[in-house]
Amino acid sequence: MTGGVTDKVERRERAMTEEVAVRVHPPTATREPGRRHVVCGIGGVLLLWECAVRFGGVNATDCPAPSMIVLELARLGATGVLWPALAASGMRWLTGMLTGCGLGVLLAVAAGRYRLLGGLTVPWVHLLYPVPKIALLPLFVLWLGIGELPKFVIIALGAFFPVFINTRHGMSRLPRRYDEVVAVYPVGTRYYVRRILLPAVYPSVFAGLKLAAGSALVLLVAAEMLAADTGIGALILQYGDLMLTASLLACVTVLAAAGLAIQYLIGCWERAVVRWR
Amino acid sequence: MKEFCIDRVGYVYRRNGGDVQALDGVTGTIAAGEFVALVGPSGCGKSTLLRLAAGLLAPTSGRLVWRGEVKAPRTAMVFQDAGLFPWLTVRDNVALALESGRLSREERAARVTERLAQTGLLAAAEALPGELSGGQRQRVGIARALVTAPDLLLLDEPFSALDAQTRRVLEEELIRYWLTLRPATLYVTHNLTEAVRLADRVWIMTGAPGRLIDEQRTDIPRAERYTAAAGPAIAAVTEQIWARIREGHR
Repeated sequence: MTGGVTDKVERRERAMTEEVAVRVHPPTATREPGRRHVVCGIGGVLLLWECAVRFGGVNATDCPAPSMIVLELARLGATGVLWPALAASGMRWLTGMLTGCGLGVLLAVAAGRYRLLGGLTVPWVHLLYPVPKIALLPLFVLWLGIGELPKFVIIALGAFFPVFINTRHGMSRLPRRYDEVVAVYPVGTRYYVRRILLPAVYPSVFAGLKLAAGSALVLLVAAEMLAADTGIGALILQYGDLMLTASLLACVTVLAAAGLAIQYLIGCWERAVVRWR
Repeated sequence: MKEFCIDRVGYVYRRNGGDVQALDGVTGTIAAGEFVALVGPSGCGKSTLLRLAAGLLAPTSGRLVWRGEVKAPRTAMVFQDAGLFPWLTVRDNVALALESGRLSREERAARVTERLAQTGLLAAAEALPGELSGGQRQRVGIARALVTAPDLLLLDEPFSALDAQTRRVLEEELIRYWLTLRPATLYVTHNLTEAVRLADRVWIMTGAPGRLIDEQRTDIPRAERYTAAAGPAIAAVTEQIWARIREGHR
């Protein structure tokens, strides 16, 4: 009997001195990959690819190893083949982007401010947005000639739609409070557009810009493949015809790097402009 | 002498599922230099009345007018969430209220600086609203309203999202700033004690549709309202208002 009570007390005392750590389980609905994961993911695939070509019997002519592509890229740079093509493509992309994005923002803001203009433009934009823009290139060549203009127009079109749609979307979702504040404390149109409306839609404009940059890059390459003698797209087509896969993939690498750099720069620009977020 | 008159004002919200009568025959006047608090149950139309006074809505019936010596009455409003533009600095948010006036740039800047100094925001003048605490943001909202030297000051539950301590501090600050300008003021709140401490008169509303059912004067000297001695008097008036709201509910 006494032994039983002593056991109970001992068990209770033991139980009091035992510690169970709190289980840490932070909410993890979505997890962004860390830098290490990204490096491992990309490096691992490139390593596998390299091994497959070097030791796995994959034909290097059909699918050159990453190291071969890097060497070819260096050669294209050193021989001066790459730079004129890059400059031509860059000029087309920049002209198209500036025109398309500028028009997209201006027209979206105007369409948001003036109902008649909104009624005239918005349905057309939504109607034309799904049309693959590159399908219109032959028509633009017919209308505008074989020069640079049809390419600028097609790239500008590709940039225009995402910027217009995103800016409009941003304007339609502005908090009602902004309008109420401006109704109580009236401001001039210039002040309203410059200091209130545009900053309010900047996040949407930048979302549109990022999509537009990618869309313009795709259309740039497509347009150069179809109707240009210069530019990265034209080079890719030329190397494809000659089965120079390493050179072809070197050009693709340049495009990928350009795409990444553009997205990074737009991100930096966004952080500088939308610093209140 | 001038006064803001709410004359048999009614408001109907037009909705797809049918019209909703939010206000019906609301009548009252607020004289210059008078602080009126508006209390009542949720959804009784307090904020609707405030939005009508601000000109954000047009009354379905009745009218809102100024009587007396007033040419171009200025209205200012303090919103529940301060209503600041997050990309404008504190200074620019306050200066925005003077944009439509005829003041020169220098005069505007001087008035903004003066108001920021008064509200203790001068050190944070170049900060963005996102860098401020909730209480400071609301201070900016008050500074923006006062910088216009308004004839009518409207406040829509400005302290409802703040903690009790900050509320009390801002309440005392608000009345200090208010005493320097003394505009006709309509203050919407759910907090009866706050209403009694701040106001000269408390309008009591009942809902569905919103009507003013009573008015309670708070004859407690302003200088004593934030002292312990005034506690019982404030509690007594608060109880009377609460009894009236409860009656209105039945």
